[in-house]
Amino acid sequence: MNCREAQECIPLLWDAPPTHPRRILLEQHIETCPYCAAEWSLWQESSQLMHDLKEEISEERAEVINVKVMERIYLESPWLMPGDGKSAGTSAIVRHRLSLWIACFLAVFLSSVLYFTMFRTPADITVAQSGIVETGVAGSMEWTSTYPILGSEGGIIEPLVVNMGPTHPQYWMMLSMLGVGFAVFSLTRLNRYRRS
Amino acid sequence: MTDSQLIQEIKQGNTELYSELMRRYQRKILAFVYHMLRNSQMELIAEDLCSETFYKAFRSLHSFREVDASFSTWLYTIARNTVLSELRKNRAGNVSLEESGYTPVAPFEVAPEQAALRKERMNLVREAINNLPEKQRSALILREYDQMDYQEIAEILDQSVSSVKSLLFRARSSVKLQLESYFNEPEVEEQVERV
Repeated sequence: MNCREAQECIPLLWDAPPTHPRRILLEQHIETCPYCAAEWSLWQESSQLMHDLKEEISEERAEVINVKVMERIYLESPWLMPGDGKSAGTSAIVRHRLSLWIACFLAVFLSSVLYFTMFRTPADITVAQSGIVETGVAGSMEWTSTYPILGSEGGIIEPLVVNMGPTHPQYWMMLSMLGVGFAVFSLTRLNRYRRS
Repeated sequence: MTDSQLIQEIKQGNTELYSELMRRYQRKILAFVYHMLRNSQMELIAEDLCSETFYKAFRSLHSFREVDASFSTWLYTIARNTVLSELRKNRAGNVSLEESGYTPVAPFEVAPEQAALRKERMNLVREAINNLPEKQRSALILREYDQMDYQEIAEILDQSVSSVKSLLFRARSSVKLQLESYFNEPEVEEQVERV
């Protein structure tokens, strides 16, 4: 190996294993060539200086990061918290009861939807109870309204009142949805209190 | 318990085991982040970025597949991306070593003039590393400080092994070139003259 080859090889073979055939050749050349030996020592010195800059991190400082990360995970995803989180005795009973409530409300909702779609009440009863006024058909002369028109005597017109009671499926649909909403809200609040 | 066993357990819901998994890498990742950052004024950011790295890793753990990479290289990739994105944000705030007040700690008691010389050289080395293009710097740090092999570095940098060798070659040559003037050049010249 001559000096030019050695100069090219030094950066490449710097961290090659000592048994590497080209490194052996390089080291043999360095022993006989002071110029390449000086170059080699420059590499050694710069490498040593780089290693002197190495940051040593203490276990305590690294542990702070560990705690921070775990806290952040549990803060942002409280349901991942181990221990008495999900399986707490009292909250499990509450959860069970709330789930039953939700199931009941959903059943009521489904029944009322089915009733509403399959067993529609007669038109005249709907008009009478809900206050929905029939519409006219354009081009037809036979249309007559059942809604009492008060005329234009200048008096106060009665407001339309939706007279919907427990006999109407819509009533139960709304009620059950409110129930589900309330149960879900309670579950979320309970979860938050448990974590805090 | 191996890394993959821990990861499986964490994926199945044993979140508290993530703390154990972090413990295996937290010092290495924090050191890597320190080395990647340009100056010691960003020390606090290094810790924040390290936390960010582990948090991101936890959030993406479900998508981690050991077939593609080891957990270690995957984690280093996240750390590197996190640091680079922070450096891009703080590009304007690049503070010099003198301004940063960075003082490397001497490992043993030395004479004041020797300590001063050593400090000067170490500042120079740090500056030489910081002046490298990002990929060269990453490759050099992973190789010199984290003792990684070419394959691992290639996975982290998303490069081929031969590219990594080339990056390291250029990085070392550049660092050496920047340091050359501070070494005993007269001695070298004398030796050359004698030859």
